Amino acid sequence: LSNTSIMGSEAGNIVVYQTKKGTMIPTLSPFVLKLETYLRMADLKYENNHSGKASKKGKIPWMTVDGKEIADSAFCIQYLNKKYNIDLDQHLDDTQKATAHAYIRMLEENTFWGALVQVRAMEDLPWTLNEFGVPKLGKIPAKLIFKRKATNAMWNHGIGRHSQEEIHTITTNDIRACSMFLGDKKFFMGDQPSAVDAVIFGFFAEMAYAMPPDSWLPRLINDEYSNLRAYCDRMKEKYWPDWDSKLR
Amino acid sequence: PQPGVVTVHEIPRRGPIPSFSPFALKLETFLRMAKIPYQVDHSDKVSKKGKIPWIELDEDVISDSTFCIEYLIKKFAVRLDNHLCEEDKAIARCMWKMIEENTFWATVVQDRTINHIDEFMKICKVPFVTVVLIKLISVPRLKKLMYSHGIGRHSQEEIRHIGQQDLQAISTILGTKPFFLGDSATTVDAVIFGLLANLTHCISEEAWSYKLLKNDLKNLDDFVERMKDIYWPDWNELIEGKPNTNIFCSQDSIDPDAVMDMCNEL
Repeated sequence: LSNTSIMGSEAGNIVVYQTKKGTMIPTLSPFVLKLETYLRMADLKYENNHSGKASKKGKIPWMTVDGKEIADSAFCIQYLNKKYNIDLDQHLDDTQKATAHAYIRMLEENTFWGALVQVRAMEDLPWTLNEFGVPKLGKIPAKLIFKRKATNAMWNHGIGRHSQEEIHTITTNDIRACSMFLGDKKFFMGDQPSAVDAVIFGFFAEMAYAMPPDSWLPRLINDEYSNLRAYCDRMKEKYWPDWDSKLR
Repeated sequence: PQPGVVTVHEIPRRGPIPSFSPFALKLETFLRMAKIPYQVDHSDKVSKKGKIPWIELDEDVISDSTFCIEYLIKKFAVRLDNHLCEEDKAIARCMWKMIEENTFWATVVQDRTINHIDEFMKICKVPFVTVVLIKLISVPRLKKLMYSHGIGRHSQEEIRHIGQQDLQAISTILGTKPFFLGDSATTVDAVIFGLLANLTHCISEEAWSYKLLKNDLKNLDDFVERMKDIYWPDWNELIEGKPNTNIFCSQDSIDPDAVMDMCNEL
């Protein structure tokens, strides 16, 4: 089962490997959403494979380009840039590119754990299993397995050693930094879109549209730091006009 | 511990650096920047969260070097970062998190401790039996943590590339400024110094991080020396084993013009 992008020029066969579609969002992974958004921003046609098969490095997403396998979303993007001569950051100076890089690292190496893993795995796993389409009979063993995996990963990372309140504070400070930097700009770096927008949208769309409804996390994005919500709505309209057709 | 004085619990001083833990070096540098008197306890106890360094002040016990700094800022009304605009505070946070959650793994863990362990152990004068134990137990554990983190799943070359991107980014952000956010040192300078000083002073000279900082990203090497000269004038005494003497608290506050002159000379 695959879906083709509605935009884009013919550019070799690109397949993005990921898990099932979500009910509120095309994918529950900020890294998949980043990669697909990037492909759309770069005007590249692609297909999705929802089998949930992991890459050789044990992670999702990964992609094939004309049969060649590339793992890790950042390496996928670097590969695409090289192969198709893409540079979404032409208009940025070196300091802006360096700044964008730092924001990407913070979101992918810190906020990912304190926001997405914390809420979806540690605070409301039943909601998450539902969203991932785990069948009813599988739910009880899935809960035990995933809870233990997530707890270990959070502990190994370091952030899992803190109390829930401490984790909320860490995450809030990360989100606040992004909100302050974005301000009232149209895109993250200014009037024009750049590569970092795929990452920012990938993360904040997950936090704004696809979280347990009563959670503290979507409230932060939609109420307190609402410029992030407005930003997501803009990106969604521009790059995902077919959003609704991509839901389960 | 003395009442009313911050006690920093950290690993013993070894090797050519006051601490080969970037987190302990960051914490002590911050205390010196904020002119908060402190004493050090090297008895190696870890905190309840299984981490070191941690601090004690009377009844308060705080674990995690970042939480320690946040506590100290509140408790002692530290004003180092007060003049910063929101955007500067935001970029400071990103750099802080990038350095500690990403660059740290690629450089301090992979490059220094795993790839060049023999030289690292030699520099820190670690006894033979301990080296054997570290290789048998600590190194596999670090590899497991790196796998769990994600970065450990990449090849050596990919990990080097990831670390290099981070160091290049902070070098670009620093530019020709004396400190990361301008003319005066702020908390994030202590964070970055804690890591970079370990990559220029306590690492094999064959390590790619060392070579990158010494050959290509010279402004970062200069930044380390600047911070070392200003905040660690007793560096050599401490390495020789002399105790911490809180030199920043017993003298009058540092003359900012004298600091600028020193920076211009370097």
